[in-house]
Amino acid sequence: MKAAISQGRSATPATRRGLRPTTLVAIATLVVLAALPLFAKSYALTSYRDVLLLAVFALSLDIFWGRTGILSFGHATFFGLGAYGMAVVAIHFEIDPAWVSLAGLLFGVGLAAAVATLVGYFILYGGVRGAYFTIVTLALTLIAHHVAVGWSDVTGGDSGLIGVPPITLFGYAFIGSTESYYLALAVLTVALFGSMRLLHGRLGLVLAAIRDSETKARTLGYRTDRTLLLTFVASASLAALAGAVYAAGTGFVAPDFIALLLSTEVIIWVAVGGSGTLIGPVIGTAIVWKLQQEISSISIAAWPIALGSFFILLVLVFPQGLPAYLLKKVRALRSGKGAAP
Amino acid sequence: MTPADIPVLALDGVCRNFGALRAVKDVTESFQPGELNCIIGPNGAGKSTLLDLICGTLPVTSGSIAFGEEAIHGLPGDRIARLGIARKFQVPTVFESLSVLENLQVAAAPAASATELERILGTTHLLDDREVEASALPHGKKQWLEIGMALAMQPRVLLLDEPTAGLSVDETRDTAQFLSELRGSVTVIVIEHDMAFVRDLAARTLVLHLGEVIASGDFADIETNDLVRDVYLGRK
Amino acid sequence: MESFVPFALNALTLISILLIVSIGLAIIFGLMNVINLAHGEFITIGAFTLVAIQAVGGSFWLALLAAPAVGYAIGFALEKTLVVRVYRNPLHAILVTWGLSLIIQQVIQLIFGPAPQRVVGPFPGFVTIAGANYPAYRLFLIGFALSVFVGVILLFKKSRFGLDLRASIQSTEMASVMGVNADRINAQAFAFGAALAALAGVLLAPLTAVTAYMGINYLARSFFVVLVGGAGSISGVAAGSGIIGGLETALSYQIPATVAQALVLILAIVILRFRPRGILPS
Repeated sequence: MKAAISQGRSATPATRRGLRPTTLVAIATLVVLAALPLFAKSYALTSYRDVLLLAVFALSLDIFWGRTGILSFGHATFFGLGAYGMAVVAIHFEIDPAWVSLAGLLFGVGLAAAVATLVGYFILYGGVRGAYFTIVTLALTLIAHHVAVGWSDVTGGDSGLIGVPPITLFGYAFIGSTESYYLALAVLTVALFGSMRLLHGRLGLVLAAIRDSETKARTLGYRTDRTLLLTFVASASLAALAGAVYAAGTGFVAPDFIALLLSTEVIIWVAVGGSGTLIGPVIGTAIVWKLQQEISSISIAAWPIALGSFFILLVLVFPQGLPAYLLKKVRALRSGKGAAP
Repeated sequence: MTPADIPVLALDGVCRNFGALRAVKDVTESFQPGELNCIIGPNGAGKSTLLDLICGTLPVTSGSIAFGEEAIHGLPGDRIARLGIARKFQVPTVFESLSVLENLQVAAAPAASATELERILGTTHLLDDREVEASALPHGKKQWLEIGMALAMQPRVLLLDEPTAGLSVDETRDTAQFLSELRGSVTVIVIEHDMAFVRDLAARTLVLHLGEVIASGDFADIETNDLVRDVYLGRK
Repeated sequence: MESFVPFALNALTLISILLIVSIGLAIIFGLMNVINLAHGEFITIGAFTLVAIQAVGGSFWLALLAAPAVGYAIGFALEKTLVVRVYRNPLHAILVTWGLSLIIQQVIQLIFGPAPQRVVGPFPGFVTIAGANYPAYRLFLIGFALSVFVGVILLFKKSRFGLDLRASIQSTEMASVMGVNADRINAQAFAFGAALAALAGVLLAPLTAVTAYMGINYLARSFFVVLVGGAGSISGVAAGSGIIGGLETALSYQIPATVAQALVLILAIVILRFRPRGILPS
């Protein structure tokens, strides 16, 4: 699938120079999210905090998939490495409680960045692209899951690790639900505006060029292997950051955090929100999360079946992504009305 | 030897085989700074392959290619491009989802000024199309855009593979016009099929046949060369 | 010698299973450029065909005949309804077949329940080879799977179906000019690959816990077989199966099985760096 809709392509020169529509949507969304704790109950806030971090995870996938058109089926690996990195440092090492969070974050993100660099180097520099890339990264998640289940001395095996302390930075502990919610929101805000700033600039242009024709980009002098690798590593690192903060929030890690199902779900979050839009996947995560709550309450099997059906619908009914599909429907409806006498 | 005497591009015994097929055979040629060159030859003569070898898309089987004083055969294509060799492909290849201006921005150095890009838009007759998505351009304008992208790289050597294919008579004349204007500033190597176009350019011409250079010199001399008449011009 | 014989036979067991799973995957990939992520589910379907037949008192041999037929029918139906729509876009093919895979897993689990199923194979005894006792069933499995593989090669080389198939893999356009019906050959090839995977599922079932998720591990392995060996060639599939199956068995003697599997897949990624088109590309 060509990365689905991308804002700005058909935009008029005026909107190009001013704020992009997606930037406005992003600001509006963040304002609503910032006001949410005033209305939500404390227990609901912890769920919303988790959703915000999963949204950061979805954003991380969109940075790579949405821009390069190459789908990674292995992003749960990086989320999981971040989470397990955090948990292992907190539980197996005796580190001063004031610094343990920072050490865990660094270790988790560093681990994911290292794995992404290694795997990315071998496959991206080997010329593996497109569908091949997707299945190699799929296998990566399988491997990581096996290791998480099998290496129980370190990872706690099937039951995972319990007792990850909340994030403590420079002496301040984000213990309460409101505090940890705002921490998650801060991570999301920085990640969202950081990636918008980067990708709306020259890097975004170059990545779009590589997606259209990598050969041509190379004859223009771009080291496309390196650009793709750096984007992949940045995307993996952000996924790991989301995972690490998520583990500190929930207080535990489990093999579910590093499983194929999570890799699958994050693809759906991005696709529902519209890949390539950055803010879309954030909204998509919230929508799908809510849907999952509803559908899973019917039966355990219902959710995977719904997911599977959605993949098929995605391809056959709205291959350009859900927002593009809806936008087209709305436009058709409007122009239909306009044409009527 | 002064730097001015050094050819900007020198091929020495360049060969390229595809299995048993010898697509390019022992080509030894040099190209001077600012010189306009045409390569002609029947289909399958190895013209595009020769450009592929120069810009690193394909590795040479044997022989050497020097850019100034630096050997470039064996270097990756992106590296050769950064040294200053730009390429327009036979099938126009532009970034379809980007606008015309964005295509030029990607091709130009990050520091390229707006006026420089504006000038290229003018040269390539694309001033009114700057915000148009490249996929929506007609074939001829795609050709121009790709040439514009090559120019935006500010190359020292410009390789053009059939720049006039699919262009109208007027557009072809414009192309000849602006290639002539490049004379003296950029070394240009053009592959062409259109004999009238090559005659108009009055450039140094190489004739490739079955991978070998069988004649080179002024087009006027080439036209009267019996061997060339036999293998190529004689076919008309 | 005593320890080498069981090792060689263990390796051969895995290799021969990989051979018949991967050949189907390679055909589908080579012919249609479709990466079939639901291929593993056909193994599961085969295994559960055996579960169902044994539950009603049928024999292993009946299942060995019925499973490929079930696999063929389901494969044919899915190709005609869904897969045929995504040939032009490899990423769409991945998403659709992955969606199918999720659905098939849950449907099987809904029918048979989440508990692992146990089935019994024929030949319960042991055979002594060079001083080592080895389960007779595994010897049968190796022999049977290798004969199936040889049969597939013969089908490829000698039959009309094989000729059409090879012509289509080379060039769909050329084949259709020669009068090969591309739609029919695609559907048949997809279903044929599914039937082989289902057959592998029956052979595998007595050696393992049969669950709705058993296919996924073989899916990953057989993809690496195809990638490492080279897509679209039988010799590539043979080489890939030998490397992946042999290495995994050898390593699992030294280190935990999960880590061995992980190492083999990592090694495959490294091989891809240097031979992106596989060891023996077509």
